[in-house]
Amino acid sequence: MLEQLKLASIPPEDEALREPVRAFLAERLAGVPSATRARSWMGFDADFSRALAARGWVGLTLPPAYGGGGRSHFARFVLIEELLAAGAPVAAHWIAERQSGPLLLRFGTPAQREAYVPRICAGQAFFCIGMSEPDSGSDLASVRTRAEPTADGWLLNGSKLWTTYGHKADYMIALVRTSGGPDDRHKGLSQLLIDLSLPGITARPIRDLAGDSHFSEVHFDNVALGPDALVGAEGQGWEQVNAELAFERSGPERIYSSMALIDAWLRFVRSRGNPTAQEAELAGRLIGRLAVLRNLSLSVTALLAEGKSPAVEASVVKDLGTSFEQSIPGLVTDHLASLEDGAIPGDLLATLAYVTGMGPSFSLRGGTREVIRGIIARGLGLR
Amino acid sequence: MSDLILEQFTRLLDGLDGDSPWPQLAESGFLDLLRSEDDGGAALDLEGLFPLTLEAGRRPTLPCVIQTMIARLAAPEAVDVVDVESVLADGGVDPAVARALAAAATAGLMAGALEAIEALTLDYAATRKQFGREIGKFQAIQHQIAVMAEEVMAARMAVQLAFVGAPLAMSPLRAGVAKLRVGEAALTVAAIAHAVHGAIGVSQEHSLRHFTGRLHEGRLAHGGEAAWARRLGGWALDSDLDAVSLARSL
Ligand SMILES: Cc1cc2nc3c(=O)[nH]c(=O)nc-3n(C[C@H](O)[C@H](O)[C@H](O)COP(=O)(O)OP(=O)(O)OC[C@H]3O[C@@H](n4cnc5c(N)ncnc54)[C@H](O)[C@@H]3O)c2cc1C
Repeated sequence: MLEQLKLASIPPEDEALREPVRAFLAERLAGVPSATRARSWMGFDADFSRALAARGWVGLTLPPAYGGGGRSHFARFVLIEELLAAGAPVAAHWIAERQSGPLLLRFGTPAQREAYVPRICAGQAFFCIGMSEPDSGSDLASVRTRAEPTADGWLLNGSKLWTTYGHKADYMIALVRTSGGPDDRHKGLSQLLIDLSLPGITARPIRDLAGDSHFSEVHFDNVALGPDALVGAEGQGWEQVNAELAFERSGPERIYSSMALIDAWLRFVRSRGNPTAQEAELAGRLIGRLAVLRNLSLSVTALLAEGKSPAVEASVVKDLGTSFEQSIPGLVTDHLASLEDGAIPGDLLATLAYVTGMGPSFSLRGGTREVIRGIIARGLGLR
Repeated sequence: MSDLILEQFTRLLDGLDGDSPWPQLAESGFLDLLRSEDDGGAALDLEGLFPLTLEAGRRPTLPCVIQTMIARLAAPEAVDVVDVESVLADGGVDPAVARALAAAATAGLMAGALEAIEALTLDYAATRKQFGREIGKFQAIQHQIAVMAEEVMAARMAVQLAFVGAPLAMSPLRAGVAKLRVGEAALTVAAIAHAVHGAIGVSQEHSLRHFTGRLHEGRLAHGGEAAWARRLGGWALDSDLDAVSLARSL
């Protein structure tokens, strides 16, 4: 059985962050259509990220000594909840602050921490994650990108694929093979910090089915890296990557991807007046499920705040959360298609089209549903 | 304090005379736990009732102790209360609160049953062998049980959300979320549990039927998922809040 999650509440000093964040977002995002908001953590806007950073809202939980806010996990929960509920374009700084910064603080050298973390908190260093490759998706340990040790560092060759904003980020933290061969699996893998402006690197955006270009393919052709490119210990990449994925999977971001669509639908139903029994039932089911998910996510946050690493519980929230997010476009379509009168607003239809199309990706990024269920089954003692 | 109450409650239930439990239960003082101290109770709040309700729900068969404890808020001498909603309403409790409390109590007992089902299923998956290995080693079974564990966790959280504060101040909206979400979980979990148990699970002698049977009865009692969802949705559509704010303000 898994840890029994306890109802948690946000301490008042962290809850107090909500109003200023809301006010900032209301002003900054005024007039942004729902279909754009639905992109939220796929939306790259460096100016927006820097405006957030200027208010101290990038790196909120990172130590003040490195330019962070030194705030609690609950404060971050409030901030992220508001950013995602509003559909703010957070992609530029998202990975750097959620994964790369904490990773460098945990495994990086003092010089690496000082060189990158303050810039991450200032919105001046954007990162991407180089894990997946053409032949390595769920089976991440099979990566082939390789760095050979040289007299003065590393020589890097290979390709990464599906790298979110690999074509816009300043740096990549990549999982690569530094010793042994494919049969060594988890051994011989390391994490390297790569300056993407170096010679020999090409990054090409890939269009998604909605026409956006957020992910990319990144090729390394004899890229010379210094010895300080290594993050953590040589050969410890697998353990480090799993610690990193635990940061990635535990936040409220896994339940809020379809909020712009729910909100656009609620506004539409309200504007028609006199809701039918079916409309009330659907609204009630969505809000009820959301309330439970939000509290699950909040209790995982409480475990993080206690210094635990609730990897399995976070996976439960991710699977429940992405299933919820993915169910919304189908439910909204059923309702809209049942109407016999009245026009449906264009922005609602555009939002619906976007979330319907990209919905399947919600349970792919950060580990597929099947991988996540495997983690839960292991937590239950089945494997 | 709450651990101690739970321990005593568990021991009481373990030692009950199956044919005539009520004298023993009345004697124990547990039936009056929710009543005020002036009335000889302990003014236990819903947070305190939560673990007792789950414990009761985890038992394959049990007299309606939790319902009776709640009923005594309005009917001091009540025993063996099956329909707590009507006893409360007859005793002068606002019918909306009576329904909410009855629904939340049912949801709590169902959540206990869900936990018991998860434990039974995990145990069965680890012992039953086919094709030379435990069935829990097959990925198809692992993933179904993972889904079960997720639903049990969600159901338990939904109930916790409702079990807050004084019983007679139960929020109908939170009770609605509990009944709705637990009912949804019940359907999924009962189906998976029976699938994993195979034929033995539908036999009279296996305890699974008590739990899954209780889940299906519970879905019918004191308002089902659709009824509570309509209530919640009516509130949501009357407001002009966004979805996350609605979920927060419940
Ligand atoms: C929008 C988006 C952004 C992304 N951003 C990044 C990024 O920034 N950096 C990065 O490195 N990657 C990124 N990815 C890639 C993502 O991590 C991979 O898509 C994911 O790991 C799955 O790999 P795959 O797509 O190759 O699918 P595959 O691994 O080929 O899987 C295909 C199917 O087979 C199933 N499967 C595979 N193995 C098993 C198994 N053992 N048991 C049961 N089923 C199995 C999978 O669950 C899936 O259903 C992104 C993906 C998306 C969609």
